[in-house]
Amino acid sequence: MKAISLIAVLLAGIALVYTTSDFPAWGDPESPASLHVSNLYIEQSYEKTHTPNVVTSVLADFRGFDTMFETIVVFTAAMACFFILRRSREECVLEHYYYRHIATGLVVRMPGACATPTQGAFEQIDSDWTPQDIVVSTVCRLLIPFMQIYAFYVLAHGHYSPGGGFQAGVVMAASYLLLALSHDLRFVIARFSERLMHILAAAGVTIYVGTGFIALTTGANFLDYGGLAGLLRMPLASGHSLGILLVETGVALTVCSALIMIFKLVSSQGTINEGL
Amino acid sequence: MHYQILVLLPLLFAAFFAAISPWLGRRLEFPAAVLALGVSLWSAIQVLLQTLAHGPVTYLLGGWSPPWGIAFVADTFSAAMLCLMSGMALLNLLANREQIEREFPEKTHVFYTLYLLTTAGHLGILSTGDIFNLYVLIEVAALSGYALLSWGGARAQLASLNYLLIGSTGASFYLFGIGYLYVKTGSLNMADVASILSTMGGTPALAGAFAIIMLGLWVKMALFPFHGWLPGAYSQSTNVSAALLAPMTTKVMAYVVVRMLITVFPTDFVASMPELSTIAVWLASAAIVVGALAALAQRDLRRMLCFILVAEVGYMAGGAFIGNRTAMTGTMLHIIADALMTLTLFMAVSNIVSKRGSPAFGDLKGLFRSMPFTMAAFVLGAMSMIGVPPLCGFFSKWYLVSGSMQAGQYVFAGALILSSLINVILFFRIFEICFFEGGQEHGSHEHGHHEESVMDEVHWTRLVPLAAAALILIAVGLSTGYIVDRVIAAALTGSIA
Repeated sequence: MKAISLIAVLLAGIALVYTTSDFPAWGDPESPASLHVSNLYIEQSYEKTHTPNVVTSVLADFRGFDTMFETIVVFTAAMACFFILRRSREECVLEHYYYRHIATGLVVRMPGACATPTQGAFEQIDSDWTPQDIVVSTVCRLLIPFMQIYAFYVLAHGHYSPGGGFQAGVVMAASYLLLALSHDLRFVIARFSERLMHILAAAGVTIYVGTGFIALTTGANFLDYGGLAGLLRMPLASGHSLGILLVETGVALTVCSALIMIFKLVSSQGTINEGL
Repeated sequence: MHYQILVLLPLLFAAFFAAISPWLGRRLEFPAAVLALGVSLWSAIQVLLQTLAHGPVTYLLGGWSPPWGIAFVADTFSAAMLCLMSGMALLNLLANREQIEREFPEKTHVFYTLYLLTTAGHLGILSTGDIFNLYVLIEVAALSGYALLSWGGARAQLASLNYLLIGSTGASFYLFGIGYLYVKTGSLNMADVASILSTMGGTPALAGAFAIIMLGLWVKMALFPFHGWLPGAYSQSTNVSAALLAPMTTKVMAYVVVRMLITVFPTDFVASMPELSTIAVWLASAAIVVGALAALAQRDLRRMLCFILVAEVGYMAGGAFIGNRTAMTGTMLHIIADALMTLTLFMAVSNIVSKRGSPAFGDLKGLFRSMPFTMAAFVLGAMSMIGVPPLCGFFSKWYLVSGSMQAGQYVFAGALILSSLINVILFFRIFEICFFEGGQEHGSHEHGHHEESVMDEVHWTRLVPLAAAALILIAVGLSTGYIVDRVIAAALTGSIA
C-alpha cells in the first residue's frame, strides 16, 4: 500500500511539474492574471473607495464578502474549540490544586478541588508555581501597552499601510498572551473573562455582517458601503472608506478574542483554570 | 430583491446570537435557530419562484459587478437545492430539540451556533457564482461540520480528526486548482471564467486545473477510493449531527461537481479529456459495488447506511461524467432524491436509537410493533433507496440507467442495478429482523421481549418532521416530470447536448 501511495505521489508530482510548464512566466505583465481583473483594482480603487491601499480595498470592499466569511471561519474555529475542549466547571483535571491564604501567605493543597468555596480569603496558584521572574514581568509590563496601542494603530491605518483587521487582532491577542506568559492564566481571565470573550467574538462578526445589513436596509445591496454613504449623507468614496474601517474593526475584535479563547482552552486542557 | 442574500443572513445572525445567548439571561437559542431556518427556507422558496418565472437571477454583493466583485447566481437547480437543504436542516432541528439538550449539556448554545453556521456554509456554496468564494464557504461548512461530528461515540473524535485531515486535503486540492485557473484566466467569477475558457481551448495547465479540482471535490464528496472518512465520521457522531451532515455535505459537493461540469468548464473541454471521464466513471462503478458489498458486511444500521451512502455517491459521480443529457439529468435528480432519502433514513435511525440505545442489528427486534410510525417512514426511505416507484429514488435511477445505456457505459449500468439488488437484500434483512424476530414469541428465553411488543413510539415532535420528510419522498417522486422539465432542464440549457 505504501509503495502504491509513493508511486501515486511521484506520478502526481511529475504531472504537476509538466502542467506548470504551461504557466505564463513569473511576473509576466502580459499574463492573464495581470491583465484582466487586476487592472480595474489598480487603476480605479482609489477613486471608488477612497482607500490608498489597493490590497485593503480589494480585501474589504471589492471582495469583502470573502473576508466576511474568513472572519466567520475564525469565529467558527473558536466556537469549535469551545465545543470540543471546554470542560464543565466542576470537572478537575489535576489531582491536587494549590491555594494561598492571602493574609498569611500559607499555601494549602486541596485534593481534587478546582474551585474552593473560600475564594475570598484564598487565591489559587498554579500547581507548578515558581516565583515570578522580575525581569520578565517588568519587561512585559513595559511592552504590553505599546503593543496594544500599536494594534489600534495597525487597525486605524489599514487604509494606508499593509495592515488591517486581521493583523491588529493578532497583535492585540499577542499582548494578552504575553500577559498570560509573564503572570498566569487567571491573571488574564480576571481582565478578560470568558463571557467577555464570547461577546466580543460574536460582536465582531455581527459588526461585519451588520454593516452589510445596514446597507441592505437603505435599499443598496448587501455589503454595498454606498448605502452607508447615503445614510450618513457623505460622498460615496468616503462611505466606502468608512465601511472598510467598520468591518476591519469587526474583524479585529473577532480575531483577537477568538485567538485568546483558543489559547486559553488549549493551554488549560479546557478548564480555563490553570496551566500553560 | 434581496432574497438570495436573505437565505444566509438570518442563519448568520442567529448563529452569532446563539453564541452569546446564555449570557443574555434567557435561553432563546432554539426559537432563534428555528426562526432563522424558517426565514431562510422562505427566502429560498422566493428565489425558486423567481428563477422559475424569470430564469437565472444574479445578486451583486457589495454592488460590484462581476468579475470585479462577488456575485450570487441562482438558477432553477441551485434554487431548488437551497429550498431542499434549508428545509432539511429545519426538519432535523425540529425533530431533535430534546436530544440536543440531553447530549450537549451546557453547550447547547455552541451546538446551535455550529449547526447554523454549517447550514449557512452549505447554502452559500449552493448560492455563489464565484469559484474562490465557494472555497471560503467550503471552509465554513467543513470546519463547523468537523466540530459537530466530533461528539458522540467513543471513537467519534478520532473519526472526526480523520475526516478533518482528509477533508482539509480535499479542500486544499480544490483551492490549488482555483489557483491554476486564476493563473490561466485572471478571473474568479464562474461565468467569466467559462467565457474565457471557451475561447482558450485545452492546454496542459487547464487539464491539470480540472483534474486537481475534481480530485479535491471527489475527496470532499467521498467518492471511492477517497471515501475512508465517511463511515467513521457519520456513524460515530451523535444522530443529530449525522442526520444533518450526511444528507447535506456529500450532496452539496456533488452539486459543485455538476456546477463545474455544466457552468465553469466548457462542455467540449470535458469531452476532450475522455481519459479523465473514463477514470471517473470506473471509479464511480467501483464505488457503487464496493459501497454495496461493504454495506452487506455491516452489523450496525447506521454503518450500513453510511456504506450505502458511499454507493450513492458513486451514482452521482458516474452520472455526471457519463457526459450525456439524460445521465446528467439523472445525477441532478439523484442529488435531490438522495438528500431526501438519507434524511428520512437517518432521522428514522435517530428515533430508533433514542428508544433502543443503539443501531446494532440485535437491538432492532420487534420494531414494527413498538415503533410503527417510525418504521413506516423508514420503509418509505428504504423503498426509495431500493428504487421502488413512485418514490423519488426510482426516477433518478431510471434516468441514470438510461443515460448510461445511451452512452454505452454498460459496466456502470450493471453496477447500478447490482447495487439496487443488494439494497433489496440489505433492507429486507432489516425488515425481517424488525418484523419477525422478537415481539412475537412471548415465551422467548431472552427476557425483555414482551415489553418490546408494547407500542413505545417517540414523542410526536419527533414523528411529525420525520413524517414530513417521508411524505416529501412521495411528493418529489410524483412530481418528477415537473422537476425534470422546469427545474433541471432549465438549468441544463445549452450546456450538454
